[in-house]
Amino acid sequence: MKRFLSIFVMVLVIAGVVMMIPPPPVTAIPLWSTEFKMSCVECHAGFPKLNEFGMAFKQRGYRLVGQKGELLWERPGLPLSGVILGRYQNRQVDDPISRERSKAESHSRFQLDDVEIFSAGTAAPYFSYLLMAASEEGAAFTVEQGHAQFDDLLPASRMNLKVGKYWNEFFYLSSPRRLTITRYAAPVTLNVQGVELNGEWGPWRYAAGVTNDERASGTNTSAVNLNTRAQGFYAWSTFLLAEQTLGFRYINTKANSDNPSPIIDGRTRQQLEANLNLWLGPVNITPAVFYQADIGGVGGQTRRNYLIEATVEALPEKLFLTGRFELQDTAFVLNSPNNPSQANGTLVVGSVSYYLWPNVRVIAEYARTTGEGVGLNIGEDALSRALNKNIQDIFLALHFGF
Amino acid sequence: MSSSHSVRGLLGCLTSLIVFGSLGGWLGYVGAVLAASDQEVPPEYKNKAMPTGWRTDPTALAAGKAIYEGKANPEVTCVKCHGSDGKPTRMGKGALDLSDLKEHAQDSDALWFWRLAEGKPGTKMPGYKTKLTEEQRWQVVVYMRSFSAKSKP
Repeated sequence: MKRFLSIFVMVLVIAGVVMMIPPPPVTAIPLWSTEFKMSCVECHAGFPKLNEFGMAFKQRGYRLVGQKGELLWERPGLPLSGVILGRYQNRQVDDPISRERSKAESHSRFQLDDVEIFSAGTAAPYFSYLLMAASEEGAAFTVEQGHAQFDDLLPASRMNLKVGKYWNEFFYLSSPRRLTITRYAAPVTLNVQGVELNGEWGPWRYAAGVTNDERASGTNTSAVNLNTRAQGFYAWSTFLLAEQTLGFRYINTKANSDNPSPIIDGRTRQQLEANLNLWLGPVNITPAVFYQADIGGVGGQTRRNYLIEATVEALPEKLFLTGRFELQDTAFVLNSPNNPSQANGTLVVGSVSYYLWPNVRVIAEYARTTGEGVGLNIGEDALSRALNKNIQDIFLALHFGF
Repeated sequence: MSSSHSVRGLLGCLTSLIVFGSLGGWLGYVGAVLAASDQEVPPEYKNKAMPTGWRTDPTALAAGKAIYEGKANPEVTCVKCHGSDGKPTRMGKGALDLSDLKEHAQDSDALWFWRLAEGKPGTKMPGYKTKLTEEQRWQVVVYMRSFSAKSKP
């Protein structure tokens, strides 16, 4: 038995060593790797999170420096790719006062968290596109993004023009490209429909656009959140200095503007944000502050979100450790549907990602949410709901791109 | 044969498979990397030579610096990946360390000129032959060569 055990341990050790051996340079995701013969890590700080080079590539219209881009049918391979995230979740929900377990909300189950199918690249010289259909948590596929871009209106990607449905976000603070399973409580990514000018100018990178009003905000149903008027606008910029990035964003959008009431009076929701993307060797730290005024169209109701996330690349391109802390503070306004039932929501996440290959990772994660802002992983609009519960999640997941 | 013997035999086979498999894989990987590092200058670039006297010409050096830093042509910004001191930046992870004396001793001017013109397939290094004239490319080579001159041997 002893000998059997020692052999078993030896096999385990060898298997561990084998896993540490760097795999051959993988050109795994067909969409880009086969086209550009480059490894995933050239554009990703760790799949799916982009690095500065990946962001430049994306904003340039999926072209490398000096390339014009090819006609769709001249590009090698099938311009189709996908991402799948499957997970096991153990969730425990407690009442914070009575400490009683909510059996109805606690669960332990496997779930297909996210499936994305997309096609992107150049359709013609200096003309690029992205079409993405996604299904979250088993829901039906919807068009998550669909846009076209006229590249290089000013040379060297100084100005591009994008039209359609797309993500308004920073590449280092992106909800769909996060390394953790748990979504951000802060409004880091907004899926908008509109038109955008973007580009890079020396150390500056920018985007500014006009969009439809918010479709949903606060606790209001979609029926009162219309998406029919193009009167929202936003602008963001990042500045790169000594490999550290400073970012700012301003968003102005009418929330519930078609359904005025004594409380929801159709005011403009404004969001002001500042963040940093800092690198210290293998450590990446991202602090961010968000200030929102008149949330959900309720005059005078403000919300502050504070976020700090740190990722350590413990084993180069293999093992990533991520920790995140978020605090959400919503001001109380009489009769507002956005009022928190428990102030100062917090979210703590600890996550470990191990990359079997650059496009395949296994994730183990622990997350604890308290106070307002709970309801994460239930749905995008649930972030601002005040459920007044304590939630603990343990995830084991497999995430891969193909 | 007893069952403990067959289990031991099976585990032995498995261990050998993993050890030799991983060794073979690693050798294959090293081989592929070595093959990829083959840097033979193609015939059309082999006889290219830096204009006489340019290596120490301050005008060529200044012009090369302006191009390298993206001030002469916004579509050419070597500095983003190779750094202002010739050392690769985070964005240019894996790029050539231009301040490395060994690299300079080994590689000919023609090789540098060729790489600058055609790029390096499978890496982030693009080719600049359509963006820079031959004269400009030599100016950049002059400037890039100057990084190692500043380094201590």
